[in-house]
Amino acid sequence: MHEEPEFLTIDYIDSAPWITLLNDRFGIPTESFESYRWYQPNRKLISLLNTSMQPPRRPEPISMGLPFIRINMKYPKLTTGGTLFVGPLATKNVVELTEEQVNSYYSRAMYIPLTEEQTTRCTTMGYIILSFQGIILGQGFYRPKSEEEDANFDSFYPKAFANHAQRSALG
Amino acid sequence: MSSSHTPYPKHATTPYMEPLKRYQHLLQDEWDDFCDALSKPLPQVLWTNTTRLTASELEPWLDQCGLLEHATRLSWSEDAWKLPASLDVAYGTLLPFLAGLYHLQEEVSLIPGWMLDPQPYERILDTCAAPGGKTAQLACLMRNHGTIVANDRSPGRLRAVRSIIDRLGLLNIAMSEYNAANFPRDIGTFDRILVDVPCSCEGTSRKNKRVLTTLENYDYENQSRLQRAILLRALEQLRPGGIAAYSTCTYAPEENERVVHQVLDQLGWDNYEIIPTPELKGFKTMPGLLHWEDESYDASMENAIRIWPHHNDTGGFFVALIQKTQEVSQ
Ligand SMILES: C[S@@+](CC[C@H](N)C(=O)[O-])C[C@H]1O[C@@H](n2cnc3c(N)ncnc32)[C@H](O)[C@@H]1O
Repeated sequence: MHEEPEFLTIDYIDSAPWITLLNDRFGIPTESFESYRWYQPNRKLISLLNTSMQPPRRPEPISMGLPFIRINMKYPKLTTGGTLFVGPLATKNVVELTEEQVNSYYSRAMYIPLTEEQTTRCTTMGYIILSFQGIILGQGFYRPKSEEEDANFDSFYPKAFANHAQRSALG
Repeated sequence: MSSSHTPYPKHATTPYMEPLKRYQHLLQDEWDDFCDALSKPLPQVLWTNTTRLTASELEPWLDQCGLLEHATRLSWSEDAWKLPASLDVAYGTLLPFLAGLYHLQEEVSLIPGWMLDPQPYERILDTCAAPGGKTAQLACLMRNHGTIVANDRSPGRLRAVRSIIDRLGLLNIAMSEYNAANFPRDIGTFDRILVDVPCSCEGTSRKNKRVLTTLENYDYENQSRLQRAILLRALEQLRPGGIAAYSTCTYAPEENERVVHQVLDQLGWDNYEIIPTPELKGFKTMPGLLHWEDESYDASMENAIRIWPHHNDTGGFFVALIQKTQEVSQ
């Protein structure tokens, strides 16, 4: 018989500031995160775990849960995986794309024009969540209409994912 | 849609099949069907990310991508579709894939995870997890709850697991990079363990034509030494009553029945048993072998399953479910 070893003690972080951030920008209801734990493995990242995770102490995990928010930047940013995960809960700064815009997004294009109708749920310049027929695709950077230019966005589709994408993502 | 595949050599008589001739007597009059199946490319299977949507919600997306009319649901799983190999589609570039609505795997690869039947709040070990298709399937079956320790010795291959976690939105996976033959006891006990070991990969020749050319003078004994060590260590970490699935994508009894038999010999047949696998509706499997060359295996080896490519138009595979019956004295 051997004794049941202890599991790794995870130092969860206070999620309140991050939940506020996601609520402010994307209108994600604050109570959406009740069944998750927030964990910061390093200076760059916050990951999201479920509440029942019992990782071993040894071998020590090299990663846990879903990489969720990149924090080593001026404006912390949801990862693409994080966006796909919480995007369906967003109520503002969400833009529904056309098929042509979807293809531009997957080609990592910049200055992709948006119609006025598409930007009704957008607030200020900054991150937006992109969807197509209600399915979340990832994130972009939104620039509202100004004197110089019409509203538009840059694709944040990650380089690492981009080699998967082709010109027409609907075949 | 066009077929982009060149047929494999018609090879009942070609050198290509030479390394598999050792199995001819097992198949007897099915040998030609076996050779025929191997000469054809492999159908693709696409399974629903059920943490995100249901299979019926995915259906319209498959339709929009022009896939639905060619797709048939797996006879034994409502959540997955089989698509003919003749379809020339880059499934991994389509929007529903990129948005994490489905994952791609071949049909046989879905079987050990399904048979292991992990439950939402359990603690699961995946000893050899990369590139992660089976880990992801386990995570979905557990509805993103509980713990999966997804381990692999190869850091490069673990990167692939990471990208699946991101795309599918999986929360219940802790990744580790360790030699599974040598896990420390502190890893704890597990309700279920997937032991999907490295092997000679004979059963993957429809996907990777070159694999059979690497088998000349293949050192089965050397490979099975590692397989035994990994299985042994895994079984020791099962909680009493816990279940392990030992799987390979090879036909070689040296890597299948022999490994399971020798490990249970070592751990004691009183403490572990090979239990019957759940029925795969509409899918033909064959029992594990009781004899190979001059060896005999325990009668319960019949509870293990062998999957031959010509029976269900798949790759080749082996699965044994092993249950720990009582605490083994260490
Ligand atoms: C058959 S593949 C696993 C496939 C994986 N289960 C999946 O479904 O994607 C075998 C894996 O075992 C890993 N491996 C080989 N030796 C190992 C060891 N001693 N400990 C842990 N992993 C090992 C290899 O790096 C390889 O990724």
